[in-house]
Amino acid sequence: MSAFINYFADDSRSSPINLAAARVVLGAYVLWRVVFLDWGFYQEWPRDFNPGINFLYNDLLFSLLPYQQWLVAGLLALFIVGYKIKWTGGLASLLLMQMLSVKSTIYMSGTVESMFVCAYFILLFAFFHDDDALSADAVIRTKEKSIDQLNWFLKEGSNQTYRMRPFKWGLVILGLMYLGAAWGKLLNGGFEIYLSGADLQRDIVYNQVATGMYRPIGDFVVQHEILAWLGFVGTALVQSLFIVAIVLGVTVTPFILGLIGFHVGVILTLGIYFVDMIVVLSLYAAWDVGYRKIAADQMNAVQLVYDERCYFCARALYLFKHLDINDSVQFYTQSDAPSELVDRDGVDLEKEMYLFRDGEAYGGYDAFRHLFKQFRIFFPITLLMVLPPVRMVGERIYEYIADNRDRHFVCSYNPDDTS
Amino acid sequence: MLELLSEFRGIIFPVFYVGFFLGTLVLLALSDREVARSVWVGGFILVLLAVTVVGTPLMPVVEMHKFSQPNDEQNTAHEFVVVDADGNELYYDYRAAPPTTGSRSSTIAGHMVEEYPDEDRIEIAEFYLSNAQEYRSDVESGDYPPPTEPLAPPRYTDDKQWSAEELEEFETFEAIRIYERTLTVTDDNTEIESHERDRRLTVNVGNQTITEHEHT
Repeated sequence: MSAFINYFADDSRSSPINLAAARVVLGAYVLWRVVFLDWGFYQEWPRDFNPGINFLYNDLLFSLLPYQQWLVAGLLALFIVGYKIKWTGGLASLLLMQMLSVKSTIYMSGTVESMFVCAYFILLFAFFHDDDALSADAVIRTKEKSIDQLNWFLKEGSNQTYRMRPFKWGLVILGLMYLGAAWGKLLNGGFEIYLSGADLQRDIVYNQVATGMYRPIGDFVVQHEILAWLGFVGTALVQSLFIVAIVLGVTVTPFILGLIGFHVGVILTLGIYFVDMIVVLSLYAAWDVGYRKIAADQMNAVQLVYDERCYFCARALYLFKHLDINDSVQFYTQSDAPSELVDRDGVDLEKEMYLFRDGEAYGGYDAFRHLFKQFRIFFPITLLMVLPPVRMVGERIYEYIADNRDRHFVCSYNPDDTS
Repeated sequence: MLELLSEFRGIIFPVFYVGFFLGTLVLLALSDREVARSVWVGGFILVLLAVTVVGTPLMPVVEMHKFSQPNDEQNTAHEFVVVDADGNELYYDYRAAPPTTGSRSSTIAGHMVEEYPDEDRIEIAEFYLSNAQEYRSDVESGDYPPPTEPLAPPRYTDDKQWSAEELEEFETFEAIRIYERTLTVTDDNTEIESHERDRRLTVNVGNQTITEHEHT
């Protein structure tokens, strides 16, 4: 099993975890970057320094940047929760590209280029928005399913595979980007620069003088030419063969590890250049394998009994079913719940939802708390839910929904009516 | 072919730029159809491939030809320094003028020495000096770094930084000066053999004078 996934060879997985995790991580990372950049300052620069794109050096475009910053931040927040991904992701990406282009009239740094790569990824999420099964959009799409379809899904599961095309095409983009890094050196330096470690040694030495920063590992590499040569040639090989591995459909693990190693090497010897690319590359890790190991398994299974007529309940449980990749939650409705579970004092299935763990029954708000607990990654949420103020508000909300589920929370839509 | 294209880049770049955003918006609106997705992905990858091969960004499609210039045994760069009323010099802390860092500022300083007319030299020097003064007062008053700094992404170049103690030794900044720095490495590339700094240009913003120093 590979630590990193070549989605170009196969763009499907047995769980939706990876795509959702990537959306959240990438969205949050770009949001962090966008919020902390001083977009308002750039308009103070007296002239442009990038002749090819001087058509973008425009007072109006610069004056819009601080406003666009917060618009993009808002769109990214919605993108992170997966709400209207097509437009929140699409517009956030396009606006960000426009802002970065304007900024590039002054300076197109490595950080700007890395942010462009992040924007391309977000745009791919927007184009393939329906691939994401763990999003607010996915919950909204449950409106298109009948209560019977949802009940069936919760009880039986779908056995579906999840396509992840943003990863597939994002990988090709990454492969081309890194090919460019290797190609650029060949284009400008010729083949002879690969015959020794001189280029890297000089890079480090000149950088030390220019920045005034001396790093012990940088010094060590400078003093050992063989290390510099290995680092230089190894980087070129990994950068240029990455796209080959992608297209051939073979494992990309050694290449992604090599590229991350290259970036870490740059940080240790030269500075924090291209640190963003480590985040992008890490999106290709097999996070679902790790998640499967963390999440509860069938040995720790719980049983959840809900109202089969409650459309809202079935929709609310929809994401949990997708998250339950180890089948550690057995979903039942009142009509098929095992009698040994529910035929006991204090259990009123008409009143609230129940979760049964090791023979103990937890109703209503506590049922939800234990449901979160089952997924372990929500451990912080389960801790918060114990706090008295959170519990008080949560119980009130739960009671309101439970009491009104026939009035407000049952959708009247039934696909059968349209036939 | 590339030369022919470069002659028309004044037209090609803006047209492509606007076309990219409009085309993407249209295809995004149609993205529930498989063909729209295929057209966008295929088109984007083709442009990215072309940009990567040629080595010139076609905004908003960029390449990553970073660190691609070979390093000779001699390296020449330009650096800004600030000059105070007593003529004392202090290296420029590029945190005063984001988003540039030393490498980009070297290019700008080089243009100021070799290329730009006097009006541009004064305008750019005023920009660097006023931001240096503002940044200096923030450092001295303790307003820099701001309280949000620990939450901010790290600056990607961790170069030298002014401190309040260091700044105490300087009077009011009055001029921007540019040095040409030439480094030569030893034959085994393990250390600097010579480090020459050649004063090239001084722009006194207060009295708007420009002094071109003799290039040795």
